Amino acid sequence: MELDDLISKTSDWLKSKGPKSEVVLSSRIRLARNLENLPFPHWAKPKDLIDIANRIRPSLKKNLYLKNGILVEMEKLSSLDRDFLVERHLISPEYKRKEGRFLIIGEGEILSVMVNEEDHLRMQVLESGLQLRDCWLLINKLDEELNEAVDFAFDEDWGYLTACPTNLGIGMRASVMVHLPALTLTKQIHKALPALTKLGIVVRGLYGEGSEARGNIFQVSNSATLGKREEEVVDHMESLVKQLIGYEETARKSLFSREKNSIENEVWRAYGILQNSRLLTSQESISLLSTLRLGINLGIINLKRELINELDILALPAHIQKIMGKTLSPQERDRARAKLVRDRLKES
Amino acid sequence: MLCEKCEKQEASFHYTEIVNGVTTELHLCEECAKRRGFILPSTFSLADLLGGLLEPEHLPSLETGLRCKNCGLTYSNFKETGFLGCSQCYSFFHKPLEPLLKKIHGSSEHIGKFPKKKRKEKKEKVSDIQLLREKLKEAVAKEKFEEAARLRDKIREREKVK
Repeated sequence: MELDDLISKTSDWLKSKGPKSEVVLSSRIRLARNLENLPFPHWAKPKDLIDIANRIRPSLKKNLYLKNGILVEMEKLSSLDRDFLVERHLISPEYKRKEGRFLIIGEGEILSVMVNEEDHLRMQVLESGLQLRDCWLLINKLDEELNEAVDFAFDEDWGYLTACPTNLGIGMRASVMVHLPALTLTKQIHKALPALTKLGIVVRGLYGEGSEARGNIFQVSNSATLGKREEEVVDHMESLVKQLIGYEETARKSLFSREKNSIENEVWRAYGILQNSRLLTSQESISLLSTLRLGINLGIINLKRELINELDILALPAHIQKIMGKTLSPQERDRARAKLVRDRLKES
Repeated sequence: MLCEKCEKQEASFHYTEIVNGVTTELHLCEECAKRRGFILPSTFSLADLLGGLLEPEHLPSLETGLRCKNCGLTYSNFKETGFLGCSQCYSFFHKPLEPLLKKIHGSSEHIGKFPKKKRKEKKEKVSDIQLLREKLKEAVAKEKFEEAARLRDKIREREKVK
C-alpha cells in the first residue's frame, strides 16, 4: 500500500462503530519510548538521527502488529502530504520533513509509529468510540513486541525516560475526542471543563486555538505520567468521560424538550446549506456538520454518523487538495469542498 | 462582524464577562485583543512554563553549570528549551530535576510498567516494603514524624505496584 491509497479509504476510527459513538468520536493512546544513551531527536545531529532510524527500522518493519504497513520517509514527503497526515491524526504538525524521520502506518490506520519526532519512538493506537481499555491492551502488545528487539531507556525510580520531563514515567498520553454541542449551547461547558482540569485532565478544542472549540469537538487527555499506573490512568479517564457523556446526554434531552422547534430548524437549515452551497469554508463546514451530528443523535434527521465523521476530515484543506489531485487556492478549495459535500450527501 | 475597537479587521476574539449579573460582551480582532492583553504572546512556550517552576532557590549557580557527560547538554540548555538531551541527563541532573518532577506530576516515583528485562528488579522493589515498614516503626518510635510521613507515602506507592 502507498500513502495515496489512504485517500479512498476511511480510517477505522471514523467508522463510528465503537461504544458511546453518539458523543465520543475516538479514543487514542500514545506511548513515548527512547533508546538508551543516544541523544534525543531535538539534541541529535543529523547523522545520529539516521543512525537511530536505522536501528529501529528493521524491528518495526517485521513487527507483528505493523504487518502490511505503509512506511513513509519524512524527507520525501511534500508539504501537502505532511498536512494530509496531520489532518488524519497520524502525525503531529511539529514532525519535521527531514532525514532520519519515518512513520509506519498499520492496517486501518489503527496503529502508527513516528520515529524521531519529540522522542525516538512515538507509538499510537487510534480507535472509534470510547475504547481506551482496548487501545491500552493493543499498544501494550506493540510495546512488548518492540521491546524484544530494542532496549528502551528506563530508570527504576523515574520510569521510561523521555525528552521532555512532562512525559516521564509511563510516557503515556490517553485522549478522547468528544462532541459536546448541548453542553456548549447551554454554556454548561464552562463549568464542566474547569472541574475536569482539577481532576488531572487537560481539555482543549480540537479545531481552533485555546479554549475555542470549533465544531464543539474537544480533546480530553491525562496530564500526569509519573506516580500513576497505566491501567489507573485508563480507568480514571474512562470513568470521567462516561460522566461527561452523561452530562451531555442530559443537556441534549432538556435542550430538545425546551427548544424543539429551534433545534429542528437549525438542523434542517444546516442540512439545506450543506446540500446547496457553492462555496464552503472549512470552518463553516465543521460547524454545520456539528449541527447535523447533533440532529442525527436526537433522531431529527436520518443520516449515517460515519458519513459526518468522514466529511469532517475530507473537508479539511489538505484532504480536499489530495482528492482533487492538485494544490488549490483557498477559493478553489471552498468550491471543491462545497461540491464534495453536496455529492456525498446526495449519495447517502 | 467587525472589531469593536479598530472597526477595520474581522473580529475573531469574542469575550463575555459577567460581573454581578451584568453581562458585557467584547468582539475584537486578533491585533486589538493582543493589545488589550487577552491573547498571550506567541513566545509563551513549554520552556517558559518549566522555567517558571524552577524557582531560583532551587537552582544554586552550581547547578546551572551542570553538564551531561554523555551528550554534552547543560542544565541551562534544558532550562531554555524544556527538553533534556539524552536518557543519561536524568542521572546528571537528578538533584534539580526531582523537585521539578514533583511539581509537574505530583510525584517523583514511577509505579507503572517495567520493561520485561527489568521486571525482576520490580519484584525486589515490592519485597522491600517489609523493610520500609520496619523503618517506619523505628521513625515513629523516635518521633521523627517528617521521616515517618515520607516512609508512609513510599509504602503506599509501593503497595500500589503490587
